[in-house]
Amino acid sequence: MADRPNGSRALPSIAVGIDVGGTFTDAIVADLATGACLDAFKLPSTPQDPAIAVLHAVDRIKESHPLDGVIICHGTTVGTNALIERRGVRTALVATEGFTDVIELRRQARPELYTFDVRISEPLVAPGDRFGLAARTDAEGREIAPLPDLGPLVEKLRAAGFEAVAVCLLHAYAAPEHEHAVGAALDAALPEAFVSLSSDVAPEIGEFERTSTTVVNAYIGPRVRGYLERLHKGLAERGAGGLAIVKSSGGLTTPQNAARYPAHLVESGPAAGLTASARFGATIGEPNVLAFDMGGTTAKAGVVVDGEPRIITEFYADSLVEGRRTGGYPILSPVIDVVEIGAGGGSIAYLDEAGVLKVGPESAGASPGPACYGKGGTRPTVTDAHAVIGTLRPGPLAQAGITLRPDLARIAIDTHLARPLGWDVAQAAHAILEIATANMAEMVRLATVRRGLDVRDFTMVPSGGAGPLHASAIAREVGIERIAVPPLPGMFSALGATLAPVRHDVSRSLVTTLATLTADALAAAFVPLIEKMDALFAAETIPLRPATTARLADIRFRGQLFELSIPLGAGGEPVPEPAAIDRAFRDAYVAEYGFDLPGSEVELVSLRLVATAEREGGATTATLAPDAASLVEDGAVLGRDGAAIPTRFLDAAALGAGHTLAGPAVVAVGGATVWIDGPAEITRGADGGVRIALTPRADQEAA
Amino acid sequence: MSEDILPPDALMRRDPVTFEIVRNSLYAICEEMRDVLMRTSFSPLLSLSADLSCAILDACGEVAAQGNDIPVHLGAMPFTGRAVLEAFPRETWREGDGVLLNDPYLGGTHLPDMSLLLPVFVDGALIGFTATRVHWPDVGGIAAGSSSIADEIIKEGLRIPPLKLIEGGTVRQDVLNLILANVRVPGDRLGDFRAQHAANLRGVQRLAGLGRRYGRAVTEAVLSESQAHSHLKVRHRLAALPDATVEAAETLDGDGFGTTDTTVRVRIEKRGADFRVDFSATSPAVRGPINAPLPVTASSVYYVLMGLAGGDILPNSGAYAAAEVTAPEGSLVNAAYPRPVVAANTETSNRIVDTLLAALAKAYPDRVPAGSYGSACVYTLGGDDPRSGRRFVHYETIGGGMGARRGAAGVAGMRVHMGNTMNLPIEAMEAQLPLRFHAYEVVREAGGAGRWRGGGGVRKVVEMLADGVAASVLGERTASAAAGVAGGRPGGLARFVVHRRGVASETLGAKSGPHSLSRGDRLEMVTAGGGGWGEPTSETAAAPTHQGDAP
Repeated sequence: MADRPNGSRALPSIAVGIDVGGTFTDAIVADLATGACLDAFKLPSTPQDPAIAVLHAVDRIKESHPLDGVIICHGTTVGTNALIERRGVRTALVATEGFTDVIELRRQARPELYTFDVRISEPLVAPGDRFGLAARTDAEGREIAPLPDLGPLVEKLRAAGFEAVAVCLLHAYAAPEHEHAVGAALDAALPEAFVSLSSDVAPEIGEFERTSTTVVNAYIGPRVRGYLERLHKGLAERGAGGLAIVKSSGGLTTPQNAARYPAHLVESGPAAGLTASARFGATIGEPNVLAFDMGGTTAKAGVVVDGEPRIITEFYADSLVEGRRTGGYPILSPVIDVVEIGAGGGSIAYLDEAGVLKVGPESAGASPGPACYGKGGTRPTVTDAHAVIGTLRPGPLAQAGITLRPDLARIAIDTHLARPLGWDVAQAAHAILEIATANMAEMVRLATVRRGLDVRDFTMVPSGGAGPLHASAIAREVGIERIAVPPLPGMFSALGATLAPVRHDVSRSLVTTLATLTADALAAAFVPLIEKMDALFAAETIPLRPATTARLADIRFRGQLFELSIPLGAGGEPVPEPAAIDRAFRDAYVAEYGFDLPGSEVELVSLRLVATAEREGGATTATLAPDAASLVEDGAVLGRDGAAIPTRFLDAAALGAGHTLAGPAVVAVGGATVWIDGPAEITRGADGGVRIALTPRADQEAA
Repeated sequence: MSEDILPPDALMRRDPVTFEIVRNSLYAICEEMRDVLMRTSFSPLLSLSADLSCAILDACGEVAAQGNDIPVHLGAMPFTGRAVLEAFPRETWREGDGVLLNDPYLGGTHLPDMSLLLPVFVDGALIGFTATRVHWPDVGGIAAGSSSIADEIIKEGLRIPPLKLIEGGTVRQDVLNLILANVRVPGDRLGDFRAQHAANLRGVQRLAGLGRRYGRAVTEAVLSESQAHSHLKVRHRLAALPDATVEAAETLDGDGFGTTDTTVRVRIEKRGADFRVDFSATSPAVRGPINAPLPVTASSVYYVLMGLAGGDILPNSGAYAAAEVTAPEGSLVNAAYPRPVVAANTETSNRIVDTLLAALAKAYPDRVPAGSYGSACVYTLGGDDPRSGRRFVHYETIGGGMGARRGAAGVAGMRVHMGNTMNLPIEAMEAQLPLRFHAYEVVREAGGAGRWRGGGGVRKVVEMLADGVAASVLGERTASAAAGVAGGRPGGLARFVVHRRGVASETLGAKSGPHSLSRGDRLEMVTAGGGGWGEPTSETAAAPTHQGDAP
């Protein structure tokens, strides 16, 4: 599908990032070498085929920039949406006889305790589309029952016309031979079908999670493959140099690799945003970043530690539906560690039966939207609270065709909250924001404290339409002192796509006690991983700088079932001695859980190799050219007690470099609004964003 | 709504925002404690099945907040708090103390559930406790797994009344040694205990931090008003339902000793916001281990009440207190020493729930599900692994059919009602234990027919790869099927069979063991299906659906 790289071709001068959202498709054109933003715009998305809007954006870019050799970097939600909206293809599952229902039996628990209205994510393969195979291996990979004649099975699948087939046999992570034989027979008989083998997609122990991953891969596979093919063809017709896709890990890859492992793309959009946060943090000298994204219906928090986005190896897709926990679909793939909650600008505020104020997860969505949008919404939302308080500016909304109606916001808040509580509207509006802030602060704690990280070590980088509005309040609540608002906070995922490196993760199971391991044996165990990694990079089409590789080992106390990931140095260095690894593990364990187990043996479970390569000639930072407009005006926002709080309103560009402004203030940055709700020092960064140093308030000393 | 229990200057009224923030933090702390426990424990039953629960108690021992864990553990937690405070009154606690217990007659549930409470101090004053209840895979007794058929509690394992095991931050090693000397695979149990202690400590650290951040008075107010808030909400929902007085009776499958007088009889009176449940006509306690201590019976009532109230109310002592439970002492649902109790947590509790639901279905058929598989279906296998020479204990539960609801089929193969432990991955078990599994599949036809079908049961078959494996099964509904509602048909029955080489297969009772199994022998376990809801139509009668489908 993709062309081989042309090594002799001159490097292009621009980088292009395109991100497709539910409402808008964002495009960014940056100078490849300097990272300076040359152009940034939004087009309406085309949900029936997202490729149309992407190609429209490329057409527009082509009007002012040559596309020769330009790689279009793209985060895609096509696979995610196919999964969430159940628009994948009819998929067959071939599993070990007696175990075809593993996908339905899950881990047998229910996601919510005290309800008779139990909701469980429905299996993606119907019972009649599951086929048992009377072959069996044991945990050591020995054959217990041989493969039967595959002819009848293959004929059944062919006759039924399945577009995709997932194959998951017990212990295939240890012995893939049976799966390989089934795969070969299917490829021969059903050349058009999308075939996924568990030993290829997710070679890890645990039959349910591995089956789930393989089934998701097959179910969304044809949709993702078709989309990437259409996009690739359209780009070729327009003379672009190629396409690179953002994976759930935040790294880029070729369309070929992406189409083979669509399950690795399910968190592509948020991953690009976290990559942008990491890169932005590196630019401004902040290695530890708390990325906070907030849009209309959801908020997300992820962390960057020592310059690296935090990556986990398993997540549950579509586990929260209409505010209800449904279990979701486990996917084993490297994925950025993001906590998401149903809190956005459209989240509805209401009083429960006992008279306690709640915010979300129900959202007014795009239609009818917040009351202040004047499109028929009558229930108060977070955005309405801003409209009443005065932090929402009419300008940016007018560009989206919305006339701000603070009067309607007042009515909504007064009717549903203030009057029943016996409060005035200002107090109720502030209460909405305080509850929303508390919910999001809990999300931030989940992403940090619950993972053993101290929030005070982090700089918050807010993004999304509503992120900058809430950053200051959340940072105060959780104890973060520094906020860095990036340039173009509303188009952060598109920006991230242009800055991402190519990244691959490979792993293998190797269960052994450290005491019986030698450094030589450990080094030898990495050799097949290095070979697999080399093959993946050989298939890449983007011109790259040399890759840097990191070795990791998943280690636990023998008898436990959860591991800690322990770094084993960079790819070129000698591997550490097992005694040193033992010490490193015990130190990490004490740091995480507060105690050591001196008498317990330490066990290595699996090895991982992670390699990233930056784009040749590419910038890893972004800057925004200062805007000519530089509004400054003195205004006021409505305080909790109804009194006006004098507040400076200005564009970031109006801040002279090096000049400091004291909060409170409302600052416009790249089309988004930053609200600094209290004492702070605000400065403009060289990139066009702003830096905020919060000054502790008297009532916050105890935090 | 009635606000009689709240003073006008309650924090919830004065500062609802702070109330909401601190209360949510309490529930988040319980989730964090669970994380620590799962990640540091040694038993697959904890790290993979999550047979554990976490809570925060106020200084009176009442539950202020709890994790999303195991209903039978959590509903019994107020009894634990009260029993511990009776043994060790408020003024006797010092920072760094800790009390362990598992006595079903003094604040526990069944012997394998070990509860640990640590006090939390702010400004030198006791404000509450962190509590964990953790299922140890073995606590001694007549069979590996401590879940077999005994006729007195002394044979079920080591019994620990409230015991101050930790004093001033130091674990009393001599006492811990005594406990470990009486359980199987003590090394793993020590690891599990350390994990439990670490989880409690994490909770102490977080709750004390909350107390410093918001002040002692606010934190104590939230610990108390969190309960008042849930209490008001449950009563509000109850008041919105039509009044009713309904009765039902269901008979358990027996106690492993052939006892047949095993009927749970319940009368529920819902008047206004009051909810009274009376078990007075229930059978007396029996010889075998299906006797429920009062906390287990009360848990079952609380669970049903929460579900009837809508499922979205934060659970705690306040919510539970909206139910009034009458259970005669010495009966099957309020057993006394020395009755054996181990199967009540997993089996009797779920049958009590089905009995309560059958009664409520007469008044509120649209709000409750049909009968379910009525069980946790516990099977235990223990012996020596010939490959490693190590002793092993395997304890697992098996899901079954949930009853159908108006508007939705029952879910197949799921843990229903009073438990919620996960299955153990077959690949991980085969890698660790001398076992080979031959089936783990849905028994679709076991789902009772109806407008909406009941959920299917599960068939699991396991072969021994070692000699001398002790096997026990605690199940239900081999004789009495899950009832349908509103014309729905009953679900299919459970069955348990041992297949020995060269011998005729032997069908086991619902509670059975320990049996000695040899290499090559197979244990086949089939759990029951759920009842259907509504008269079957021609389509729904013909085509079982997997779960959750609209017809």
